Amino acid sequence: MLETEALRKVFKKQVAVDDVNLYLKQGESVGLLGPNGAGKSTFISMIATLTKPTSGIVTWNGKNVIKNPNIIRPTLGMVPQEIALYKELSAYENVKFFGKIYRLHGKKLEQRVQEVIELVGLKDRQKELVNNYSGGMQRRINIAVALLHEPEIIIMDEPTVGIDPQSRNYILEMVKKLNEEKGMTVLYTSHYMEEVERLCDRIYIMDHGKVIATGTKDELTGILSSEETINLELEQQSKVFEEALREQSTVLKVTEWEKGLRLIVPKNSRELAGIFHLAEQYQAAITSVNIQVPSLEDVFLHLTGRRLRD
Amino acid sequence: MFNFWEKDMKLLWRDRTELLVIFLMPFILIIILGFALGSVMSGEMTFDMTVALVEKDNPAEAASSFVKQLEEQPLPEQAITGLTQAAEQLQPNQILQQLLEEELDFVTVKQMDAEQAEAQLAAQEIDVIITIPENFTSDFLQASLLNGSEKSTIHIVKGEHSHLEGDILQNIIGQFTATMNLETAIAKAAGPNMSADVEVDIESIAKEETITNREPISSMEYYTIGMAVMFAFFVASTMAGKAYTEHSQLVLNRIILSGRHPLYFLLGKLLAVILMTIIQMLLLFGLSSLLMQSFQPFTWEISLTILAITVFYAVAVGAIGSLLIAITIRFNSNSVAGSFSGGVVSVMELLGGSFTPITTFPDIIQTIGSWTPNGMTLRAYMLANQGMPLADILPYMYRLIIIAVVIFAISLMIFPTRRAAS
Repeated sequence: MLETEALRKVFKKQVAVDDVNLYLKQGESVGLLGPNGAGKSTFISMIATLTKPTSGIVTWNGKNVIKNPNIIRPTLGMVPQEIALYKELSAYENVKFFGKIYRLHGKKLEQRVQEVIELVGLKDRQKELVNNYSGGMQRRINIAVALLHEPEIIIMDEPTVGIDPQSRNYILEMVKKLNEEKGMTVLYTSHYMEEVERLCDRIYIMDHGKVIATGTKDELTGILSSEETINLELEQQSKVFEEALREQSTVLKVTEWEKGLRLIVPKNSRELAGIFHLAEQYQAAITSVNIQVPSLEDVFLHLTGRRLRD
Repeated sequence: MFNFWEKDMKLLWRDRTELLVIFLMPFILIIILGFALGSVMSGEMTFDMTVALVEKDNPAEAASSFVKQLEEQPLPEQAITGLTQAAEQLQPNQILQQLLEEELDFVTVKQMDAEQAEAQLAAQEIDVIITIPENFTSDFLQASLLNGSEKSTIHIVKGEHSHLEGDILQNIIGQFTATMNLETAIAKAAGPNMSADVEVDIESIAKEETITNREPISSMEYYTIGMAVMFAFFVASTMAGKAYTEHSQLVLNRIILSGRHPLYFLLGKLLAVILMTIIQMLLLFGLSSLLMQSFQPFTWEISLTILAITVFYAVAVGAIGSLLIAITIRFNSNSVAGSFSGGVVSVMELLGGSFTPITTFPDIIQTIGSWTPNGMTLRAYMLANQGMPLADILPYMYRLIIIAVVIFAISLMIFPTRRAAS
């Protein structure tokens, strides 16, 4: 459906996007994860035909959109990171204006305006000036405008930045619903790993303009080492138990933490039975066991040596 | 395009600060300047012009030659006597001189030869040269009384520095010749016996057609015009500022993605500037007229002329606004609109005469000022307010439209039309 091939953008001598390949199938929800400054916004701006690439190709259903932007524009809903609205107009006036420029008229226009305002949950406050809205409400109208013309694909550039948890949750649920119930294709960029994990079927991780990893969440976390972390919560610390664990060949590392011990073991080593046996032998009372699964955050850290929000 | 225009009008209407600048500030300035500088204006705004009269004609010789010619004609004695009397009375040079020297208070006439007159006009010591050519009286008598074919023509040369005065005088002379022609035509039609009654009513020409039938322009009127043409520019810069906000908030990107040609955005703004300028200027003229009795007495002719000038000027301001918007979007910078409203407007207003009456400026400044859109509009308004015919005002309006077309064409070339400026 949408595909980029070696897409590149250079501003003066700064490479913002470095030969990125990406594809989206119809009805898919794809995440673009990366820290601020990774080149996500520039990349989607090129896909949306708003910025001309230095080189590379963007195709929509096999047709080159760089040469003819109007191939993709009518089917594309774009939610920019900025609040791209007229703040001195009401939510209703904003949505209606953009509806008109999308060539909606009369009853159809009014119907769509009300549908999208209802979808973002602002029906009762639609006559208020956008300027008087909270950040979260402004972001919801920002999304409503992008949905007016019933696009086939929606590109969302960090749509939850700087808003309250309630609005954030509302937006995430809405995006999920649009994808799952209405079959809308979604390209979602964020530096919040948990959002991408929650919404997306496939994920591209971007840093310094490059895609450094891609795949489903499981595939990505599988990139991580073959180790896993076991957190043991103990009634009280036991030096003899700790020493006994250190002597086990299958336990790679033992460290203390405030409630007990943290072990690093080879992945799927099935070491738990041996651990419980030793605990019984040295009369160490285990109150809780937690096997830590690697997150995308860990993956990013592993790949770049930095955290997503550094 | 109407949708864009409607949105821009709403945005402007809801911006209270800008509205105060656009509507209230000029009115306050009109009152302050009008009252404060009223006494200065009352002394300086009366027209005062020096006219060089270059007479190449010899009326006495022409009259005696005409009588000789008559005597050679196969005409009845009675007709010859009547026509001789008419020729003695019809002395157009004398009548014109009398008109200039006695009836027009604001004209000082100096008799001189052509060379002297040209030198003095170049040195800006005189404002207008009126030349009465050789055979003027002879041609006039022949044409008026004997169906001669040669037309008698008075030549007027206006100085570059004195277009306004020149226009006024040209108009008076035009009326003078028209009246002379009409009177003699009536006399001819009435037959030789009636020719002795031919005369030209100089007083009525002066009263009906010169600027003196309206009060000299008052300080309040002058500053209403001056402030109106000045503050119209702020509509343009305000709209450019709003365009910058739209661009920086990526609203323009939404418009581009909608598939609408970005030019609609520019055209919507052009229309909004034009309409807002018209509203602003008419409101100022209306308020000044109602509250301070400016632009009296009211006549439909003058009011319609003022309306026409306003529309033409608004189009020029709209074009300037388009240029500012195009530059703002192309370079993603608000500094052009800022420096326009902060600096360029002041210079243009100074040159155009919004703050200081143009007649007090050195001639070079007057000439430069007359080529600024606001300067030429101010002059056009002044001519209209003095009841001058549309023909005298049209050149200024044509100039405005030419300027508007050129500026708008440049703005179209600058405005990015394919993608958002990156």
